[in-house]
Amino acid sequence: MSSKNDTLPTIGRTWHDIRIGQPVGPLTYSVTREMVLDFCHALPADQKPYVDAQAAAGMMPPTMLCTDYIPLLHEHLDLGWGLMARHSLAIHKSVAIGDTVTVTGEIAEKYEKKGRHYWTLDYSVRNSRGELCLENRITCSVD
Amino acid sequence: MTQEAMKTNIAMTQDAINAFGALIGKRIPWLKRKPGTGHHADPEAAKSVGLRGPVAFSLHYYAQVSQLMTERFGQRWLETGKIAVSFIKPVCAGDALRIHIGDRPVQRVTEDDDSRMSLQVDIYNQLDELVAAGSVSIKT
Repeated sequence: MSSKNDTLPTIGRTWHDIRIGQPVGPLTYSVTREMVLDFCHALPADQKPYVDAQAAAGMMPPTMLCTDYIPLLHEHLDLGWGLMARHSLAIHKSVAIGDTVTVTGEIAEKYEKKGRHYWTLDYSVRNSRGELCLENRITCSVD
Repeated sequence: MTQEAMKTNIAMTQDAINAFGALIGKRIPWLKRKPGTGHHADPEAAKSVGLRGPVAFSLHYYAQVSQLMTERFGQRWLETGKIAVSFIKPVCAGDALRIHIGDRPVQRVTEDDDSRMSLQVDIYNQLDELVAAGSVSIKT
């Protein structure tokens, strides 16, 4: 069941098209101060002092790139209106503002439960030295 | 071992949802959504898929958990932190959330030969319904 008002362009790829072990990415981009400040400003007011302090110290909030599953899956799966079931993050190294990161992933699972179709994606962020910084695992439904 | 619980409140307004939703489009322009559309912003679109109203991004209030841990543990969180949360009920525009970390006794766990301190994460809405739950941990 899809929202009639989905606004991301659809590519005709459904849950049935993805396969376990399928690689996604890479995405490569610079973590800019502007990105970090935008993220800080999207958080509630009582968190801003702490987040702004991180930005001033030159560090990216570790959850800032958790949404990278969206561009990673963009050419592989129409996300539809599915809801997030679980997310986990392991932080190995802080990411410095100004660094260039590479994000890669792999479809880890797909299953049906109580009439809904779920997928799980493992995706990792490495810094410009190739060091593993962040490991994410996300599970969402597509319906 | 005891730790004082960490707590924060979030008013999940439509403006707050829109602000978080705009982040991915600003960072990756080819993914930018038309404002006011989709189940995160359009009440009719949200209701058409069985939601009470426009749904919040789970990673929005997930980010608050990380920020609370950063505030409390600083660099130790930023270099050894782990978080795992299950999302139980949708959070919609107009909801008020309470994030609690560490309401229950600290757990000592060992992972990959590392000793870690684990704390419970509980997120409630204004009806005192548990909307998300999980854990955070840091290396000790």
